[in-house]
Amino acid sequence: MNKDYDVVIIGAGFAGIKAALTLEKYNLSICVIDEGVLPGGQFIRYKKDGKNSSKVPTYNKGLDLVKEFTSSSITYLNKSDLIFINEEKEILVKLLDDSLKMIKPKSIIFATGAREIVQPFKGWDLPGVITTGAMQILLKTSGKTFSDEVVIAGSGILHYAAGATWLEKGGKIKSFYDVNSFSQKFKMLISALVSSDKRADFFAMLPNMMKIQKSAKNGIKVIEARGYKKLESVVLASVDSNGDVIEGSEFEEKTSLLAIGNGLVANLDVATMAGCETKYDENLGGLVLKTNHILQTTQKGIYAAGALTGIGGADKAELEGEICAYSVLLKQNIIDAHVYQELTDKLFEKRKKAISFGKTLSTMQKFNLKEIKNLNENTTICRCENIKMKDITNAIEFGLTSINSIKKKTRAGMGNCQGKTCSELVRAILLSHGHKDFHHIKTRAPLKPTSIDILAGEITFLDGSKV
Amino acid sequence: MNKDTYTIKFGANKFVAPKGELLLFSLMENDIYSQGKAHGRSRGGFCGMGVCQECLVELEDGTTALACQTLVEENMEIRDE
Repeated sequence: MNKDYDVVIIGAGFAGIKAALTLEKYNLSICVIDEGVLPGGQFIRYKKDGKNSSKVPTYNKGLDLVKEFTSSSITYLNKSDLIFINEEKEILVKLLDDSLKMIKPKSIIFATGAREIVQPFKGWDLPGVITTGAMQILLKTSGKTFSDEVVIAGSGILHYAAGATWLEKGGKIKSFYDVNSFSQKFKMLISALVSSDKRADFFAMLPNMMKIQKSAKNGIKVIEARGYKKLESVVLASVDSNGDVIEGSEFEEKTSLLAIGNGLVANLDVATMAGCETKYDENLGGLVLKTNHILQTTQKGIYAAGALTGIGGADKAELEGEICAYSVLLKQNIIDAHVYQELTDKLFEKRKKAISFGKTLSTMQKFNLKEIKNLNENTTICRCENIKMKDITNAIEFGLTSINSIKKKTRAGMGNCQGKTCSELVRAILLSHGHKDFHHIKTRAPLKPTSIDILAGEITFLDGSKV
Repeated sequence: MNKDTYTIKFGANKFVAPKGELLLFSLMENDIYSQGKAHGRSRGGFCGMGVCQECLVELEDGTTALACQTLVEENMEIRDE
């Protein structure tokens, strides 16, 4: 390993891998920092028996990218946590062996992807309630299902994808519920078909999607999870065209496993710690990074690819990973503006389609603010610190109008996950009260829970030399 | 038992898991949906991608690990708090 690197890429999903492979052709020293056990991000998962294949073309394309990446000479730091980063591009990372390393690259590409968001309901912190993303990951990694009585619910498209994978692995779905109406989903379908890159994926998943669609119940959402120590049943209710619960329509269904998802939000903690500015755009999935025409963030020499610039799926991530690589080459004077334009023209053209698909996704995952405002006062908002809805609304009534001031007053966002699960919910609650806070929750080092023994250890560069 | 299978202990629960399996999957497959406690209530893996920290387990050697980010190892022993 080197002491210094030309480029550090954070995240080894579609965007990070594509950026790394593109840069490698120009003989730059590249280091990829990834929290995953294996490269591929949340989308590409290696099966334990190594027999990895899927009917979905984008997935297989991703597997090929991972193979190429694994056989390259790019420095790959797996299972490594980024602990700290500053505006001077100094990065502190905790490696797999718990040692602390400092890296000071010339350029950085952030490709930290997205996480799933779940609209809270009473009992959503019971064991047995998982996200549709978790379901996908467990299915892809193990290659098999793990329950006979799963109930799947949510909005958007992710719960369909999770359901399709569940069926592909031979599982049975007890019930499938969708908040959206059939007409909303039909719009989604048209958008998917217009985007040529998605068409092949869509048709590959179609048979199982049709099976789900046949038994899917539309316009129904989960309002409560019940159980002692773990999930025993879910309470569901019909919603009207505004997404509001229709009183008297509630019913209970027994299950020990509920997979639920309401869309994706970008992972911005690392980027905002590095000083990159954010903006809020519902059409892009909420809070995203401000980037210019070459995907450079507001910090010089720092670029962003994938979900960080807007939710849009694997195609968008891959395209932006490649664009970011060329932007790095342009700014490090390895290619000139003319070559840059030649290399990126088509990529930017394709990106337009990917963004338009992402916008449809984002429309389907919009929070119903009226419903957020009317959440039961005892609903947990911050799972880590056990902060309830009433604590948040009390703070708002007290006069607080920002995520960070509410964090200080209530402790919402101060727990182990550092606000990754609740900060977007607090943002939505604030919005439902007419307060617009479009800043990311303040992040502090260490970005990931790290024991004090490790933090007190010696810091060296990657080649072992002293800092 | 061949060497491609590991023995895992979660409290008094003992089960086998194939090499390369995610710890969280093995736990859930064996009906261990709750891996810890927070604020007096049982908690278990939620996000599956290292974000929520709910599947944080304590191993017998005193170290902690996120079950969703950890592959099973031979004779892994997890404390059931």
